[in-house]
Amino acid sequence: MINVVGFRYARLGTADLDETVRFAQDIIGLEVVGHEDGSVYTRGDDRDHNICYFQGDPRDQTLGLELASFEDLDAAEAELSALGLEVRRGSEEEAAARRCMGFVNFKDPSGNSFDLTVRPFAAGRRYLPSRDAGIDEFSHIGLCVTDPRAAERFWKDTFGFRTSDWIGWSALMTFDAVHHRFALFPSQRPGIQHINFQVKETDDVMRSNYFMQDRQVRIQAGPGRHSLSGARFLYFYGPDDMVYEYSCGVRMVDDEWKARQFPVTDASFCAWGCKPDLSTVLEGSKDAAE
Amino acid sequence: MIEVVDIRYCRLGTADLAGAVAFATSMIGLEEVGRAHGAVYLRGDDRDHNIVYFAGDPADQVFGLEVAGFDALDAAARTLEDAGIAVRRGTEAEAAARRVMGFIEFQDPTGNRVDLVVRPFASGRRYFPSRDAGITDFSHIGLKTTDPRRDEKFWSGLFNIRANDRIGEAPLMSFDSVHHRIALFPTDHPGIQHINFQVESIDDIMRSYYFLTERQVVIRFGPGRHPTSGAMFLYYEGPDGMTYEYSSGVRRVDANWRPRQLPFKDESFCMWGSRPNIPEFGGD
Repeated sequence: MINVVGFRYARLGTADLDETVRFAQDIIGLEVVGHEDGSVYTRGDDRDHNICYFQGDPRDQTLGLELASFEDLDAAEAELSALGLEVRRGSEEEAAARRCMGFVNFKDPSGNSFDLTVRPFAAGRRYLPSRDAGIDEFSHIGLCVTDPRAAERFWKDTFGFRTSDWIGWSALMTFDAVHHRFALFPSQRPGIQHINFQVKETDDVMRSNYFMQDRQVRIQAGPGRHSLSGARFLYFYGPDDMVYEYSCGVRMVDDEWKARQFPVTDASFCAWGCKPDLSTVLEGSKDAAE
Repeated sequence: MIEVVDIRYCRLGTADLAGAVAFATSMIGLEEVGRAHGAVYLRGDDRDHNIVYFAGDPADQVFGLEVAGFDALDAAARTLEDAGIAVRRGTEAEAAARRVMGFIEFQDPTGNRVDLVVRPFASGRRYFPSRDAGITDFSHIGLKTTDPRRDEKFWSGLFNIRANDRIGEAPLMSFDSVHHRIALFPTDHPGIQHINFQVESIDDIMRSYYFLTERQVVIRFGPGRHPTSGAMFLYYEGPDGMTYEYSSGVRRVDANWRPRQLPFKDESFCMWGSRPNIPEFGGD
């Protein structure tokens, strides 16, 4: 069993690096903390960085998770190789670019790329927001998977992730007390389906709602409240059609928590009644249910 | 000094009584509690009623404030008359229609009609909502004024009513610990400017936002949050062009509260960035 102890970063290719970084600063509210070799490091919390953008194919996406030690890294490398997955030990140079002391990269059964990092960098300086978005931290992602039931089994059996709730066949999974760190969504191809930043309170969600509207940023869903996690949310589109989410008030779960099954309906997605555009996300679930 | 202890009801003429009652029950979420002599009584809390609609001129609007007893009512009549305000004592039949034991009526300097009531009816049965809007109580009104400084002086000079904050020339006033119970908004004619019901939580505000939007109800302002009272709000258009408000989380103030002056601009009405479509609230 591979024990994940942290949720660290996303590395995202982008077709227009300057425009994407401008959006990250002016709209999302992230701080640019470094430029190196054509990559721009940004963050929404006090850790070294959360999102690294680089000029490249927007489908080139990697998520960085943290393991506790080099021993755990060696064991993980062996375990994933034994499963027949594509596993590669990162070079020192690559580790430096990821701002960690070591890592292996692997592809999950859907083809999503992950870095398992050891000793990713903390930062001495605290996060200085580029606008008053109220961001607290980089918290979870939605992940596109080609077979949601197989994907859930993989993350459960290999990593010990727990399912907190289901909507259709999509599992919302976690490795710690936060209701979900991964939300698995059925899709024809792999990829990061959305990137979540926690904000402090409902005021921040609502202020950003009007902030986005005033600037013609396309809202994907919300403002709303997730029936599953209880979080208030706002989803909006960034460059390369990446969906970003602000949310606050996510539920904390413990070992006593019993996963619930929700049907694929608007009300399962939003307790307030917003009408999400779930076409890409939930059609797959409906198909799988038939 | 006239001691107001509560705000009780609005009596509203309507051009379409059936339509007004249908909106109040199916959209606002009020309970119909009675019909008498062409008037329909509705409520959003456990008191006898909060709103009375009657077939008539929509400009015919009265709101009811409560004083503590008949002695207070007599004293109030003298205070108003001494100040040169015409006072009329209601008949027993009129009191019965208002579901109170007695009342006097007068007009403020703008011409807004006010009932001062004594011993308004409580109710044995609790409020049973007609839809899940989360209403907890009828809480305040916006009142139109043709001269806000004159009218603030009228209310605070003769009544236990004081301004807790001001936006431009508009005072937000109260007689108890709730941040505002009567808010005066400058315009060129008298009338009730909006009617507020408190709801339990932000969830109710947002559920109603989507509920009303889906049903093509005109949203006039919000969802938003007032920097003055801290309340989260939603204003929408009801029958006869009346503005109704749901809000949640209004600030409580005490004797140490110091009124603040906010400039007359959108962000003084909403700290989230929504923009009002309500003439008396301006619009940048």
